[in-house]
Amino acid sequence: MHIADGIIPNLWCGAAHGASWTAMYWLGRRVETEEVVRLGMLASACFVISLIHFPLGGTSVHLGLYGLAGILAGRRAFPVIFAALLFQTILFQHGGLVSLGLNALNMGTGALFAAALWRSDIGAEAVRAFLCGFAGVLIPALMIAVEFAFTGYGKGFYFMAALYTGAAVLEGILTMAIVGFLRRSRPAILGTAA
Amino acid sequence: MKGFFERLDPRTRLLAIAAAIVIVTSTPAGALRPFPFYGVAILMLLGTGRASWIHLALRCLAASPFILMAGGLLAWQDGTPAAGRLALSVALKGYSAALLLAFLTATTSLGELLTALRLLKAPQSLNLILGMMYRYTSLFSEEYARMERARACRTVRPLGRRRFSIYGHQFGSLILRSWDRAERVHAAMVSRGFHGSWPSRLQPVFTPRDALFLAAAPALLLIPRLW
Repeated sequence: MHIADGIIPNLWCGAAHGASWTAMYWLGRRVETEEVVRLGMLASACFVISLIHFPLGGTSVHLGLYGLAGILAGRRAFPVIFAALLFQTILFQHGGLVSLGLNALNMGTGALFAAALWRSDIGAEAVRAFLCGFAGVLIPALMIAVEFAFTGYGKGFYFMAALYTGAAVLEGILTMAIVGFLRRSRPAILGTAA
Repeated sequence: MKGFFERLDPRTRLLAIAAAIVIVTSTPAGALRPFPFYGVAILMLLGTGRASWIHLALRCLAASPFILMAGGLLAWQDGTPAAGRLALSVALKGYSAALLLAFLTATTSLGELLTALRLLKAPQSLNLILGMMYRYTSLFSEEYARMERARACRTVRPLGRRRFSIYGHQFGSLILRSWDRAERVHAAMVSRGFHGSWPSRLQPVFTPRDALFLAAAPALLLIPRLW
């Protein structure tokens, strides 16, 4: 789901860069060093987990953990995702420098939605955890589909977004399992997000 | 041995490559005429550094899935030659940008890029998170590999329907370990006198040579872009 450079017009990418850097500054302001260290470690752990591939319908998918980042880091999930995407762009060539803002906006929106949903206290915790993981994948996929449709690529990516529903369900189930484990072993972690 | 590009200030390298990528990707969709000139300019740029060609090719290959999918979507929408041109121009833009970025990362270490970002006034939290990721990702990767090996040794039957719960526990354990390590690392950082930014031995100096390169490299691409 990492949009490479040269695919979406620069005007869109520039606007997304503006929005993402503003969000990065705004949501990362007044952060204590202790919290940054924790966010960095969380980003590393989530990144390692996201490299693991699961077989799904004849292909394989990997987790994004944007929903879990939202649950654990709250609004700080956006700076975490921005940094993780820049890290992946530099080290693995996933995405690009021009499209970094757009990628951060897509995936960061999913994480921020998950953070808001988690804090809303609506429904059972397991259901909320599932929905956080599910929305954390599906929202970015839908946003990419909309961006592609608006920039002349037609509606083909909506089909891809529909395929991502399977990955979103898988992510929802695993997020629910991770949250269940954390609730039993260290519940304080689930309530420390900014 | 360092090449000319590697001896430049990391800020110059980052800004020159970013400017080059912006110029190439701003080429109007369907326009193919500038690309041979871009090719020559990019080759000249690559000639200033010591990046391995195999490494650059492999990096471009890594960027292929999304570029080819986007090009394919354009061509699939409408099978006319115009759509083919559009798809080709998108693919060429994507690969040119990927090549330039691969060149930057092959010739500039993450430490130098972090220094460049710090000097360019990027948010401190971004620099710190990136630094932590650079340092601890391989460690967590090894830790997860050990957990996976231990689980495989203890599991005699296929995971079946319990697979999600087992993986959930495994991932949760890794997150817990990262959380605990964060506390220890922070205490160690504070005890060593950490005051909010990474200490760096790099003290880059922006020289007239940097200014010249920063003007010349993007200009090489800008001329065919505007012509």
